[in-house]
Amino acid sequence: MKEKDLYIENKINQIILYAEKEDESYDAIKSGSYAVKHFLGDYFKLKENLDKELREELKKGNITPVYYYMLMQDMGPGDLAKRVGISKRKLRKHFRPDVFAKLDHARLQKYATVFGITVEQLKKSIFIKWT
Amino acid sequence: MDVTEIPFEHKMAAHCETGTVTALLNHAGLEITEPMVFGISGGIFFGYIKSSDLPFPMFILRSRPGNIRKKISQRLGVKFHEERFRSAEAGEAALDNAILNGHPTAVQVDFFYMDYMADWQRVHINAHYIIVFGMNGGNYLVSDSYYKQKSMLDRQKMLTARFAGGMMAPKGTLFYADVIPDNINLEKPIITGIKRAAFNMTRLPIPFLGVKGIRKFAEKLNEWPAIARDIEDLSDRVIKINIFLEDQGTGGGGFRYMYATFLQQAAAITKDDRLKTMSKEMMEIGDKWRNISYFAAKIGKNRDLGPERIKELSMMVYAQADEEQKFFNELYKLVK
Repeated sequence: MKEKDLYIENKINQIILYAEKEDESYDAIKSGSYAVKHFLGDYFKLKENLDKELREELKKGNITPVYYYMLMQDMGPGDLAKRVGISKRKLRKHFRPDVFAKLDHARLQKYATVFGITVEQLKKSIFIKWT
Repeated sequence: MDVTEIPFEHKMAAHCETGTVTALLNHAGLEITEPMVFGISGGIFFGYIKSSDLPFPMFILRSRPGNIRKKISQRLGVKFHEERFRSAEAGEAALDNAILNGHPTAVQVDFFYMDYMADWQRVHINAHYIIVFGMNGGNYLVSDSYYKQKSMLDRQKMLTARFAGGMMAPKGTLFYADVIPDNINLEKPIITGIKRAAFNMTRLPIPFLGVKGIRKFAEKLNEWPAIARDIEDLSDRVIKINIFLEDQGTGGGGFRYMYATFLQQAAAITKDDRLKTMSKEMMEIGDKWRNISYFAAKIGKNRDLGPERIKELSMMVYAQADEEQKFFNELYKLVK
């Protein structure tokens, strides 16, 4: 695509794209991102809705913070289980509030590290701001 | 406070792995561009992947992480010093040592912990590469090709990121340029790179890789509404098609623009005008991927995700498979 058609004016983030220059050579240009310019607001809205919905479930005692963070950080269960060093089967048990309540500090610490939060935040469901 | 800083030129790049390898080679005195590194390593690819490691099925557009460095090393004869570690302590000490010995060093990390990026950008993906070029007290000085300038990363964060477990766990992988031979001739590596890429795209007997992967993606798109949690989730996944194709370090058009740039540069080096024609064609294929990504973003945003719309998107992807099959077959014959 020609540079003038590809280029997006947006200061929020910059990426490198390869485009056709005036002299027909192809080279790198610095540009804004199309998706960020047009869809960042939607993305925030989506995350907000998901956040609201999951917190509601959490309050009702249907899910646990482990499940909450897995979805909010868009991770696959297999990946999360490997990161924490347990089986997928065991991870699924941690989606149950009664099992989650009995987890020891070491296990919670592992989850907290993966999610980039503190154990306190994980236990008390003090959620970080997503947007 | 201890400060060590190796003079290092920071440059943004389209993709983190090609950008990192290019920057290390440039620093070591070898003039080479990012598209050239991408092309010679045969980085262009397609695959449709479904796994419990992923929150949702996704497609990939490039070869396995780590492959770019490996293939560049094989094909150009440059040597990287490369290490992985069992223990985090050993990994940390080795990185510090490499810096103290004056080597800007690439490390593989989980992108999520790169806290200089905005929160909404940070996702768990273990295949990110950055270059560490110094230490400043409790921080590392880093150059990330996705970020506009040099930045810093806390020592503890770096350790967590380098030793994150999970899919494609980095295991503390680090590497720096060790030996660069004199007078590297690019002609033969270019041909090898093209041949491998064309082979991988058209001749792998695996139903979800290469051109077959594009068809698999087209086919499976129709199942997405059934596997998404709800319409919100589906909308997010469809918009992500745009992100994967354009924003996540592809240089636009799902790496196809970068590959077109490579072919143009390759034509000049090999003095083969046929590659120049191919480069134009590749650029057009990239444009069509970009149309797909615009379309996906639009219907995703508008929640216009009925079966006909998804079908329409799927047909666009099918057409793309035919185009690429034709293109890479032709390219393969050309270098054979």
